[in-house]
Amino acid sequence: MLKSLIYKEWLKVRWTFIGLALINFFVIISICVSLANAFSMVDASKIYADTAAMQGLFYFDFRYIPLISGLLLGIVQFYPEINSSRIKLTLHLPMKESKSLMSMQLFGIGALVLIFLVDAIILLNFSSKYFPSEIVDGITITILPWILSGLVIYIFVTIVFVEPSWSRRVIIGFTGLAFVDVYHLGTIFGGTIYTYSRSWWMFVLFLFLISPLILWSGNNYKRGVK
Amino acid sequence: MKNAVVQVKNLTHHYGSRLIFENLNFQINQGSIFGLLGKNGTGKTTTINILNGFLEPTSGKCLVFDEDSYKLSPKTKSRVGFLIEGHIQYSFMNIKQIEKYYSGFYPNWKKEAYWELLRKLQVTETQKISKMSCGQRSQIALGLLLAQNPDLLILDDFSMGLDAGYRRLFIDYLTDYIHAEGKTVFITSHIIQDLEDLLDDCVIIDYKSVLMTMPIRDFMSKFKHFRCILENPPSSINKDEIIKNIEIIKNKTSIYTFADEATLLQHLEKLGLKHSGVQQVKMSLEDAFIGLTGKY
Repeated sequence: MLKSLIYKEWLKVRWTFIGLALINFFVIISICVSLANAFSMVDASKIYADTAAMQGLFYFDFRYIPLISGLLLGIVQFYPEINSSRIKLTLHLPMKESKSLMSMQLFGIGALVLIFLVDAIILLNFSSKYFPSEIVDGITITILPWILSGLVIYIFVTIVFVEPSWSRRVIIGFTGLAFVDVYHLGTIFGGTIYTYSRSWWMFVLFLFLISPLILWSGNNYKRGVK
Repeated sequence: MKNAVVQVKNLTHHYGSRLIFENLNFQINQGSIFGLLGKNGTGKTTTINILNGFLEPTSGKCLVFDEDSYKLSPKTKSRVGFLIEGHIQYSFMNIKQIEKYYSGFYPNWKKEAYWELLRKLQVTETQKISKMSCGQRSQIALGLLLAQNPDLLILDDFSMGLDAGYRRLFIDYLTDYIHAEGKTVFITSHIIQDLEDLLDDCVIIDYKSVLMTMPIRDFMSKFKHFRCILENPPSSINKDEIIKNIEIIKNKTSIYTFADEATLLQHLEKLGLKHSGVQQVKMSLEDAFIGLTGKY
């Protein structure tokens, strides 16, 4: 049954997934090319100084890419479920409703993690060829909240779509945007390190806490909340 | 006594403060075809949503295979086939993909039932459902239901958007399937004439109330339409135990009743209504439905 459910989710999002993967890949590669060009033209010590003290030069193109990816994937995956109340087809399947909803959401999270993981591996591996480990650590802690914000927005989109009440949708939507903003507080390279270095795990934990809220929305749908 | 597949007991539902229906009671026995008839907005889809567990009733009970419909177990859900109003399915899938998808959920999936029906359509296996006509989509939805092979079929307004040909095709396949397999069906349709030869039992609901629950044969034989000419008819006559509905156009009157002719005439005299030319008019199920519920 789970295999069939994953099959449906894949059919829904496959072109979006491939498109997002290509966009992410393109942005990461362009960052890597810029980095390589910079190191071929400018003295390495000047780039280290610029990166550490004058904010990162190369990574900010990536800042909103996970956010856009999460938003788009959530819409493409859950809009068809809500359109014409197709979610009734899903809830009518011979599975526990909680299992169906959580599996759908975990599928989306898994798809995004896959894309973001490839982004991070390429970016950090490439960066480690040019930068010392202290700066690579800084890059990691800079891009991690951006990546997590993509997952946060995705989770909120899924909750908003399943929720039947428009007033609650608006409240959940604005709450989601407020949380996403927190993940983007550190807008500069150094600032990001200071903001998140000791608290990044809380932002990961938060994902696990908000994810099951889709069950609350699903329960509202089942109860016929208007 | 036959096994009850669905039991609806004192079901009442409100949307906010708006009452949809009150104290709805009926039972669907195994192997019967049960129709829920009512005008638009009387709560047919609400009842179906409660039956499928998509809505928690304000009060009362709804049992499906002896389980509370709001908390159906996966095993019981696998015994219930559900057609959503408008033959809604996953339009991003093609014919082959949707069959593959659903087959993974039902161990007794009858693939051949689906493909037999689909062969009649002029479509290819890779045609997307979103590119199909409403009639073709109805056949996909029906084919999936037949392949699921459920013990109880719940069909919410199967005739919506279908032309006469597709409606007939749908009914023919459905009838054949039900009778061959001894299945139970709960059905609503806004085209009442389609149900005349199909239903065993029915409940007719009006705004906020239940008008009648009985086998369709009893309804068709007991519910009568009399035409007569009333002398000096009043501007309106109240409905009562005998007169279930009355329409007066000038002095020509249509009276709908469960009583026989003699009882009706006696009743009219008791009300002081002088009449002449009383004759019974033959009714179809649609006529009887409109006669009972009224045109407005």
